[in-house]
Amino acid sequence: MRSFELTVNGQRHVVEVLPDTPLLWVLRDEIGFTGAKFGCGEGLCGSCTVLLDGEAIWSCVTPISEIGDAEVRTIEGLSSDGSHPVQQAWLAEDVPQCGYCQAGQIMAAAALLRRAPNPTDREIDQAMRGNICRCGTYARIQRAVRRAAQLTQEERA
Amino acid sequence: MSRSGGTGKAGGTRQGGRPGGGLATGPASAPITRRRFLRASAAAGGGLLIAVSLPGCGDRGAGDAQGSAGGEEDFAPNAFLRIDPDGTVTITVQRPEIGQGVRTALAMIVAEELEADWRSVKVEQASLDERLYGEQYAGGSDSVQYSWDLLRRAGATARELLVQVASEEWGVPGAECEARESQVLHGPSGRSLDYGPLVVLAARGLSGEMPDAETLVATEPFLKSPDEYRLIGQRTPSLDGADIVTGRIRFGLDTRVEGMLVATVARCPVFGGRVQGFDAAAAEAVPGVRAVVEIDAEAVEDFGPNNPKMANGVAVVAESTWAAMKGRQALRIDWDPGPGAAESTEGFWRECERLAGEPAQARIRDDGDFEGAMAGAARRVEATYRVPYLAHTPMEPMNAIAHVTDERCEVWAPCQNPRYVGAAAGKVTGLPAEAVHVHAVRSGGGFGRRFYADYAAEAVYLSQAVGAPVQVVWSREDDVRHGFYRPAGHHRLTAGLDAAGRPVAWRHFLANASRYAALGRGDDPREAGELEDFDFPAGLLPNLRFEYSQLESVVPRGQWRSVEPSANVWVIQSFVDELAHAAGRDPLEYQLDLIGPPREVPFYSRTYSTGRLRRVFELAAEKAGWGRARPPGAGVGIAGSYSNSSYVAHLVEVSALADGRVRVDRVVSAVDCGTVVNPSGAEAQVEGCIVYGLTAALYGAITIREGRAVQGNFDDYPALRIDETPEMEVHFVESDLPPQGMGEPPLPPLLPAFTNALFDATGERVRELPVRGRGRA
Repeated sequence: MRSFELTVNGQRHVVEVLPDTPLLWVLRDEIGFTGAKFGCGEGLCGSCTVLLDGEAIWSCVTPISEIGDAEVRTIEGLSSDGSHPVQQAWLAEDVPQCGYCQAGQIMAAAALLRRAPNPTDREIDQAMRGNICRCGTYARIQRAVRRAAQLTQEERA
Repeated sequence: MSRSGGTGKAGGTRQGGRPGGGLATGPASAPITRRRFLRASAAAGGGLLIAVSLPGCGDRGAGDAQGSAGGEEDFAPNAFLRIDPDGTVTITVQRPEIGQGVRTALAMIVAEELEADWRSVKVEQASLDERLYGEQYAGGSDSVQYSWDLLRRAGATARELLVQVASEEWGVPGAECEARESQVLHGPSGRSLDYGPLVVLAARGLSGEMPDAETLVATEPFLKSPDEYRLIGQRTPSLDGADIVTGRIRFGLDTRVEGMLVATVARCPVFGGRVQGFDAAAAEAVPGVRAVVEIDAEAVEDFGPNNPKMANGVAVVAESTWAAMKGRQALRIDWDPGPGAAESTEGFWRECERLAGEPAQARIRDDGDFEGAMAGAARRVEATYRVPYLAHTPMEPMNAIAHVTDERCEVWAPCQNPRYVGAAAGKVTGLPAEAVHVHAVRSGGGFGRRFYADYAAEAVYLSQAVGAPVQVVWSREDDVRHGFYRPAGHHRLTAGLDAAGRPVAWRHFLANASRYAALGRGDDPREAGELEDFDFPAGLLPNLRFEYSQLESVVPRGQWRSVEPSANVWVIQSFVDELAHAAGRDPLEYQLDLIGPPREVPFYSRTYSTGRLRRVFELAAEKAGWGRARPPGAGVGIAGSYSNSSYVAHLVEVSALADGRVRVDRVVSAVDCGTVVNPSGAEAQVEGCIVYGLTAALYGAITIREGRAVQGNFDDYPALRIDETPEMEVHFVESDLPPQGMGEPPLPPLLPAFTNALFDATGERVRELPVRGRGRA
């Protein structure tokens, strides 16, 4: 067991875990952020997607020992009140069915819009193809990402 | 998933039937005299708790419909809502939420008749209590269709109470009052009272006493006509949306119980195998591991019909999920694989071939003179189709929490059938039913897998063993390798065509190891068979024969979204397309000729309408432009079916790509499911079935080698991804009929519509699923 210090959603946390513990289980079991989900454990489905310094990563295959000083953001910290354009767009398009993969989908979309504020349909597909949804919400996700891009533009204008 | 798995074919089968054969809806003329319909009582905080009892309604058996003189002890409420002084309406939803949108849809039905302001509506998930709620499973696409009548009348009954309270308060006739948007209005005087203050008045008047129902509800409640609907038929976003997009929502895996430990289980990789011995030392040495426990399923009493036990295995119980996972990796286990180790997919197909060459074990249906008609046919067409075993892979792997003490067992399970969880917990612990408490936690997908309670039984077993609350967590590999698979099958189709190419004789033979046999009904192949006497085109052709032979298998089989039609409709609708091409006819026209004029055709214990089936074919064709010119390499296919009381046809457009792969460009769907309660939710189910169906068509196959499932994760058991998703366009047939199933009916016809389109584009006739080498994964 080793002690690690990390910043999640703007707050410092100290955890005592095995050094190979994936970030996902640190967030869920140690700190109590259950928004990021366990889906495959192999970086194949994207349910565990969180932001590391703004970039989308698979937290199920990222050991805590590799986090260092980078800042972790989970769905719980995307906005204080659900007002992030991606969250608003997701509600407007009524995207979720079971909802299990949606935190990962939303974080992947947020990372995409951060680096490409006005993505093409192809860029949306490329950025989102790492995230599986077995309920089949993909068409609504495509619409929601386009809507979120629009909302972001409007906010800036 | 299928309700059919639950009660067996005798008591109802996969479509249209009801568990136990009870009444689906109460007769409008149900006796009302002295029958207590509604109990209103003061709720904590000054609000009103309304329990509604409706004879013959909801999921109760016919026996309940015969209301006797209404003593309080006879009052058996089956719908519940609470109205708080601030006007908040809380509706209890008795069916589990697995992503089918049932919390929103059922609440809409109550709110419509209650005239509640939708913004003030909340839902509360019911725990297991079938004495109170009747059936609580999520399966068979049943939730909306079997709740419709009960919930409408519950909302209306409560509304009439509020109108009565207001009219008494004002001293005006109730007939002059109207409820709307959580208010009662008195037109002549312009007065109004919100539901909040009204329930305070009502609660004060009641003083917690049960009022005499005759004074509250003198007649059957008045129900709105469809043109008066304000909510039903409106696109209504999920009530849980805000909790989902902020990460606040709690699934099974997110549930926490004080003092909870986490367990992982190494199950015997060979189906039916046992633990011979194990070395726990290395696992116990992992920091955080608390205990290593053998699960001896043989020592546990059977859970009951269609409620299979957990597998034999060894569990690692730890303080954290990661420690439990690492501990499991460190286990050394000697397995006794048992006879199942001889099983393989190759052997299965060989056995099917052998059975196909012998007289069938069971004749499911034999109309007219099949042999005579074949002898006189101008042309014979034959084809063999194969479908593989399929896993469900909901995004949330199996998990459950149990807390067992000497007197009590509490279970938190993301499940489709809380009753099975409760039954399993009772058998594992030996506790009486009243000591077992089951919470149906939100599920990250179900698709039929969560109809079974094996994973919850593991949690119960382990909590009892270690004396602490335990959460069992399955890995994705556990999920793929220890499923209850959609049965594989070998179908042999034979048809005779007359000189004009019309079918005059039809034979459908199926060999497989059915899910019914896996559930203990294997003695009679007629009962175990997965070909039904009402399968298409039964009743449409004079000379028709359905036959079935079954195989033995140790592979666990179960219900998978849409159950048997997921295989049979693909086979049948592919074969109809083949016949059309053999006859040189347009596939749509050929299909419509076969369906024939509008009439009712027997289907299980009821009938289906060939007119409504025609209509969905025609609507999909019309909306997508069937028969219009298409570029080279483009193909179009159509297929349709009736299942779970709904009619669906899909038209699929594909393009053959230069590298041999195929792109699914567009799916145009036509659906007749009666009244559409929530168009957004219903459309989501169609989109979901398209994606789930394309996944199965392109990638889905569990292969068996040495008695084990070979695949393990999304790399070798892939799922369709966003960049493979077609454009989707859903059209609903306008209807005032009661709502019908939507979670499953759009799935079966998707597969043949797709493979028929592939044939149109490439000339390749797909007779074995999945379609190899056409996908991107």
